[in-house]
Amino acid sequence: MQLVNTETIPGWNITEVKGLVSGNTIRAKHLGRDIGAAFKNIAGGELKAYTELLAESRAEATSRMIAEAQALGASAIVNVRFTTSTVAGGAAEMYAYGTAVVAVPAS
Amino acid sequence: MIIVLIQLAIPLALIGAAIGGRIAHRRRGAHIERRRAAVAHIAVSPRPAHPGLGELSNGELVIGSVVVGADYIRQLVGGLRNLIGGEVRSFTPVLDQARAESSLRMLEAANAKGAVAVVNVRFEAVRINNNASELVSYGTLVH
Repeated sequence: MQLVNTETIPGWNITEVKGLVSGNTIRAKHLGRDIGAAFKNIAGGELKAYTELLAESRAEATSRMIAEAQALGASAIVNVRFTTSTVAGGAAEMYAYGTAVVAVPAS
Repeated sequence: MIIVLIQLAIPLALIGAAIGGRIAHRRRGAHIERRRAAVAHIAVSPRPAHPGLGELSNGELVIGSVVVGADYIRQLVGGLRNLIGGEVRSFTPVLDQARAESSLRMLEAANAKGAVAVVNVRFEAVRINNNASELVSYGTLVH
């Protein structure tokens, strides 16, 4: 599965559009991580536990989007976008969406 | 005497941590500058395609992200700034450095995959809680 956030894939022709696909996940940070981050907040800087958590969630949302595209018989997803929003209770939603297409090599 | 010590300990610990945070901030800045040289050969463009940036893609996305918070003193100054408005200078360098870090992570991932360019680059900032924001950089690899 090819993923790009451009409308086209250089060197490939898009022959068919399968439609919009998306994947999401909502994650809550667990208490231990939250307490650790609260201490880290005094000194500032990177909150590694959160960086990892959000990266994992984004990968999860992406793989759900890929699964949806595969079910449609697509070979690539173009125009991929990511959005993140914080929802109630300190949980974050990761949402990935894009256009599922069939792409073939140009030559 | 003991009570006075305890009363002093908390603010001193906060100030100490904030000063430590400042030093760490400066060190991270120097670290970013050093790493930048290793990925300087990778072209970056916010446009979908750019002449001379390469013509072939394996259809791969690349992402870099970082979650940061401001130190205690910066939060305090930022909170006071809220009363009178204007630019919150105490937060500007924190987000600036975090964005540099996230875009550097994106470029390092691109470099590891042997890319010559990253096109259609997008930057995003998301507030996680009162004092934590995620900075995300992503784009499409060109080989």
